[in-house]
Amino acid sequence: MEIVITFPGARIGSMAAGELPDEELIAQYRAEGDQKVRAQLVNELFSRHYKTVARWCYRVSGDAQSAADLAQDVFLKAYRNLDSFRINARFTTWLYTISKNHCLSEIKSRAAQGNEAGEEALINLADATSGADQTLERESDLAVMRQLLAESLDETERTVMTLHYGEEMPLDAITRVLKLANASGAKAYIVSARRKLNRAMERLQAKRMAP
Amino acid sequence: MSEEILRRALKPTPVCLTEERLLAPETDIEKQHVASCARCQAELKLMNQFFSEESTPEEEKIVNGIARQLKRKPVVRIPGWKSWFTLPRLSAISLAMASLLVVVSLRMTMHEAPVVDESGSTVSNFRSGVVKLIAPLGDVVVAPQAFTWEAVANAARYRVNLLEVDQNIVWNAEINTFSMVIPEAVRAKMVPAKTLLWQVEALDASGKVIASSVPERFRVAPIGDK
Repeated sequence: MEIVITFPGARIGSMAAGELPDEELIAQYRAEGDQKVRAQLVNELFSRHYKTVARWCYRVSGDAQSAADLAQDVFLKAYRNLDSFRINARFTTWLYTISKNHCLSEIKSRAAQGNEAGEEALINLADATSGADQTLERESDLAVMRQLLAESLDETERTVMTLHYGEEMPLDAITRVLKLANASGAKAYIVSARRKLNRAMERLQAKRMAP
Repeated sequence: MSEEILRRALKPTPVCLTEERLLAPETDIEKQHVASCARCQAELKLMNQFFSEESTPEEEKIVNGIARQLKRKPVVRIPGWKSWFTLPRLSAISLAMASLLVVVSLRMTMHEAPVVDESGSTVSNFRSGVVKLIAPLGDVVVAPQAFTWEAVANAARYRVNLLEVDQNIVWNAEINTFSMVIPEAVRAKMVPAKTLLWQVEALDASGKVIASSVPERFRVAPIGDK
């Protein structure tokens, strides 16, 4: 294979690195023996996604300095794992997975030290009207809960509940990532969703107890 | 309503699709699942937000600033002669030269006769070089396809050792380049959450070890962390 390096942008064969699809760049990177060209190929690949990852990190963290650190970590992780990338997969999806996992794990640990637990306690207080979920103790009843979630909640409530309880995403991060414009953001959706679920469960309980 | 119930109901189920498959479900069963699963729908929304370029002007300004920082300080530095003249390196050289100058001056001042090593030892004091491992390191998303390290001058081939954390060898092999594809049977041993070590030794043409790496840890991240 003919390799012509023309700085500042590497050319591989007759095609500039900038014209290659992401996955093709990775294949070239793996096949390349020259460290300088390898570095250029990986920097070309990553620079295409700087803004996407930066935007995501900023939305999740809500702070420019943390976002810059998170973005740097994401690309470092991507570089270290580049050899495990399956060439028939989509690079952007792979990068999304790394960005999501890294940022969520960082903000979860940050939230654990912050006031998120206090917010949760307030939501639980607002919700302390019902012991209806005592009917949902068994594993098989989780299917019933999933059905209630599908039937009782609107789309945004369902998404917010899933991200908060399923992904353990802090409420302020959900508000920013989903761009919720209401005054209390994700918290309001959690409160309304849990009220709706309580009502739905009370109805279910009454139905089960009826002769 | 307890949080525990909600957590259990909203965690991914074994039939939930991976990010890759979510974008292109293949079977009718997968399509039906995605349409009805709250977790898969939420994941799709997150992905849409990740790829969405819609920004407020204020957000765009911050994003551009971060992108500029990343560009100025890329993850991989391009090696070259200019990179050799870094401040820490030049400082270290200056310090070493200054120390040498002091030692030579002192010896000259004291008129000491030079000390000759008469031990007759022919063993070289050359300390073996170090092989720098590139990947995998730390937590990886899936079992790696290959081990990669930096080339060592005068190395004819490399020996890669995959070890348990107690240093028992799981697998090893030799190769003459600085990347080794991992056989499927070995990858199958890299189960999620299991920490493994890997290490590389550089060998010269006679098979003598001329450089080696320290064992580095890696593991496939536990399912819940992906």
